[in-house]
Amino acid sequence: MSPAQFGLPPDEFARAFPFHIAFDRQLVVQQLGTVLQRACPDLQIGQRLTDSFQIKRPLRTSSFEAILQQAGSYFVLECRPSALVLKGQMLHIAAADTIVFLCSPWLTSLEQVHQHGLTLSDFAIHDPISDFLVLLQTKNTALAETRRLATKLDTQHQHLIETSQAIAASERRFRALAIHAPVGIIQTDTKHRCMFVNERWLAIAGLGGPAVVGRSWMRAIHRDDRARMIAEWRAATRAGREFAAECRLQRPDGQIVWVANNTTPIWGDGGTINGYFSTITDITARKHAEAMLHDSEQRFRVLFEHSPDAIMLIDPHHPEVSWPIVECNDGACRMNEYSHAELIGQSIDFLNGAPAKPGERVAYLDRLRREGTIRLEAIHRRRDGTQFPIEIVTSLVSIGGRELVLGIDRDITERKRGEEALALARDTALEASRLKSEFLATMSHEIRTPMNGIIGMSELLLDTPLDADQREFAEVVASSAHTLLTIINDILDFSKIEAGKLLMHRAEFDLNATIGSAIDLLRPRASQKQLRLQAVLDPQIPTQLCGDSVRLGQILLNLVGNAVKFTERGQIVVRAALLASTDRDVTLRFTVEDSGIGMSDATRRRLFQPFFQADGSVTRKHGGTGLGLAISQRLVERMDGAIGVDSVEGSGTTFWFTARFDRAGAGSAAPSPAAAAPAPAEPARPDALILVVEDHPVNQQLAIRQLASLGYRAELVSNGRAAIEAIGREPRRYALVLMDCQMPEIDGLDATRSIRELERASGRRIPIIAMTAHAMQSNREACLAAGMDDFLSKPVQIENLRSTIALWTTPGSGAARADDAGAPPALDAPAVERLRRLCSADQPQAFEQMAAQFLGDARANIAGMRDALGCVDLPALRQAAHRLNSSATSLGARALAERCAELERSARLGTYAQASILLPVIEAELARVSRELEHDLAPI
Amino acid sequence: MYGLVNRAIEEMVCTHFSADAWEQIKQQAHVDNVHFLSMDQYPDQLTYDLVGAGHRVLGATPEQILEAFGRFWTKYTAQEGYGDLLHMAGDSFVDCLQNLDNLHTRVGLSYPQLRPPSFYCTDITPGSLRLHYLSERAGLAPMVVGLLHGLAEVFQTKIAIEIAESRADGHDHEVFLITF
Repeated sequence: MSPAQFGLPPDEFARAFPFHIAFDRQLVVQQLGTVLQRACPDLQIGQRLTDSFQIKRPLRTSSFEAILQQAGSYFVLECRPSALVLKGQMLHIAAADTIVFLCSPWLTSLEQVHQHGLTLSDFAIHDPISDFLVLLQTKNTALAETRRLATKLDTQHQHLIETSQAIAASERRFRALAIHAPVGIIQTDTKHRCMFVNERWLAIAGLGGPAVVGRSWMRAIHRDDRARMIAEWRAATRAGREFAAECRLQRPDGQIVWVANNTTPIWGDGGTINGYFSTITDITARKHAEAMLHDSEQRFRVLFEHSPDAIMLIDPHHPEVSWPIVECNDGACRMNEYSHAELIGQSIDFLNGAPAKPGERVAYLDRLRREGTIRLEAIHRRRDGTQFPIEIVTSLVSIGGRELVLGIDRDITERKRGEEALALARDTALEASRLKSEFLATMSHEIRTPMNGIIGMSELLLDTPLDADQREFAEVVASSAHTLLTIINDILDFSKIEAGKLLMHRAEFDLNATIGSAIDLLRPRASQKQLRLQAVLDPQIPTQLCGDSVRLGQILLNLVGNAVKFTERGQIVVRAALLASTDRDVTLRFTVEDSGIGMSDATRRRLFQPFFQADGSVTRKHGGTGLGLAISQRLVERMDGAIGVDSVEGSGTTFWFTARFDRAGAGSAAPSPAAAAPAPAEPARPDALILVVEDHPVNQQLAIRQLASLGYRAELVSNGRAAIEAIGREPRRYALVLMDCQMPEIDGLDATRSIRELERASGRRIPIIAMTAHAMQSNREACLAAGMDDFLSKPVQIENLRSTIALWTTPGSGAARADDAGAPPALDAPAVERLRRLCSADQPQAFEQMAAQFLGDARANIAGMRDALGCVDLPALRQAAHRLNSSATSLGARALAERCAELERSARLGTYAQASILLPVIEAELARVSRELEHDLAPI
Repeated sequence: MYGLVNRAIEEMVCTHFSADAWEQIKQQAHVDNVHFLSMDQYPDQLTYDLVGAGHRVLGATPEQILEAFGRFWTKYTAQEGYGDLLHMAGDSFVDCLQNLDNLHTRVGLSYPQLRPPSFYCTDITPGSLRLHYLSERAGLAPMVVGLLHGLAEVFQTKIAIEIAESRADGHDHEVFLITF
């Protein structure tokens, strides 16, 4: 079929091609599309095409022929004024020799459509430009979206880079942290196989990395803990929670390490677990500490719970309850018979039975803070109402920053009973002791009374004409009586030592004299056995010492006496050596060596036990109480020393002891008792009448005869009342009274007091000497306190009687002085003159200065004597008297010196009453000396 | 449905409500997409699900949402570069309505999977016309109402719309009587 031959009406052609241009060979426009005509108003029909259009493509087609030749090409023309570009094809209409340019605008954007004032309806429906424009817009939309996405991608990429960098940095930090963390860190997969592990983890587990990575770390867990750990782990995993547990790791070297493990699941998408992240911390030290703490707590808990004492914690700051119990042990429950629940929260008033007084608790708390601990006794009340005594020890404690009172209560019911029993026992013992002392005193008295008769009478008997046998018998009686007296004295001494009543006196003494006296006393017995007895003193020892020379002499007498007793031939040497020396004191070592029978080790070991003697035969042979060494040992201990013995049986014995003495002040040495002046051979006052007050007939006879043998006259009364009456009748009749103490009706003490009362009227004081079988120190003190002047214990040995009477009856001494008249001058004129000459030769004022010095010192000494008397310090009194005696002798104040010597003696003998009488006499004598000195010095 | 529609819904929710509301709507609609590509095709059901979830999250009826979306669509497409196309479609609201079908047809070239609705006008008078709306998809008439209002705003024309015929009333398509 041939193609259809049809043409288009001009309107339809214009609607189908709204932008067409038709032009002839001269390029003159013949026809225009309607829309083009509107879009390019400069282009008009009849004008040349090239007036308004430029053919942009193909090039060099500005003529009709050239256009024809290029008719198969894509033509682009641009309207110069409107810049509208058209694209299309050139179609030659041969019949009209006309070219029609079928075209549409070259549009690359929707904006250009607007710019050229076009709408979609300006385009032919078939023109693809409309579709192209929509497509273009879609492309632009897609492009815009792509750009947005690209920008977003860029932003996200940048963000991703930054995030990646941050993550990388973070990962580096966390890796560094993980590697160097002080805790062990491990990451595992779901099978617990290690994927990452840090150094600390390996160090704790004692493993190397290769031994762990890729393997299950569960193998490191101690086998005893492994099953538990796995079970707990699984339970935690199933519950999807973190897992925390403590377990032990077993290191390859066998060491066990306690670790605290914390594991967190690593969650993946969909709630699956991809692995685990675990940390471990070495808690071995903590576990050990906990174990120790646990043990300690257990121990304390056991102590707390099993303590028989009630232990309670009390809150002193509770806002509502007054001092409630916040904790207590079983002991508290048992003691108070309440349950734990009943006690907790209760105020301690509950147990005390009564509420505290207002302010009492506050004061108690303050005191606790000051003193730390308070101990007191109280009464608690049990559930059944019974009361019981307790001892409470309270102290403040801090628990968790809270101040609490710790109270420990102890039931002291038994202790109270014990104390009561003890007090009763003590009272009984004291009573027994008192009875014993009383018994000893009684025994002493009862034995001394007949002993007085035996010794006195035997001494008198020996002074009478006797034949040889009679004399021997009498001597045996006297010797036995003396031995018995020694035994009695030993027993009394030991009794006093054991009772702690032995007083050690402290006075200056001459060591030579003390040792010499002891040796001299025993020399006759040594001579009888033809034993040499000598003393050797270390020349370094200062001879003037201060201590109890009487007790030192007693020890030496005991040791030397034993040596004489147990040595049949040879010698006995007493040595004194300096053991140690300081400025204040010396320590001496005394030894007594004999060449006697010696002793066995067994004997030596028991030698110092009381009442011990070497053996029965020795006892029978040598007698004695066996107390001598025991007494010596106690005395040595009181002198800060020790005593011992070295001996070989059959080869002699060496006793030794040490003792410490103070050094004496220069020139202050007192004469030892042994060196005291001997009693005068004749009665001081032969005419003196002595009143003997004695109830015992034997002792009456003995006293009369002893006084007669000493050349004194005597009158006898048999009790105190008679004595008072006799003196009351004639106060000046008697020179002295010998007064027994224990007598019927009125005893010696009361009688003395009465006599002293009578003397207030007469103004005369008669010396009263106690003569009693009560030989204890307490008896002596009682006698002096009653007003007696001196003390003679029975049995009275005649020499003691002689010296004592002489002391109290010698003119110028004691009470006798009160009657003296026409006293001689206080100063010895020749002596003063000698002194004055000596001083003048050297220095004219020297005597005056010396006299002034003497008076000053003398007054100071008298003040010292008064003080010493006031506080009954007899050694100080004796020292002061001794010093004044020395200086008075030097000055020629003879009477003053004699009075001082008397006072010295009284002080040494303990005759306090006589000393108190002598002091005013000495003061008066010093006044006389002072007056005469002033008189002597006046002419100068 | 092309992604452009879903993106327009997202933009509308985020603009008029909040990004959180959009996330909730996506979550309820079980939509995981972070980004919709304008020129990619998505299942129609996804869009319906978004509208349904929007009804639950925003508390508005699906019709209200669709109408709001229709208004927003006009603005959104203009904002996205299609505004010029509208203007190319005509100089006035009526011109534009008359070219609406051509516009959708030509857009089909760019969106090969597009199943655009079809519009044509009848009974055109100086103050009214009847717009016939034909679509394969049911239930989108409220969106067309919103869309017509949006278009009128673009051309600054006050209009009133009345649904003259509806598929719900047994007609084969919707006819809107538009007065202006």
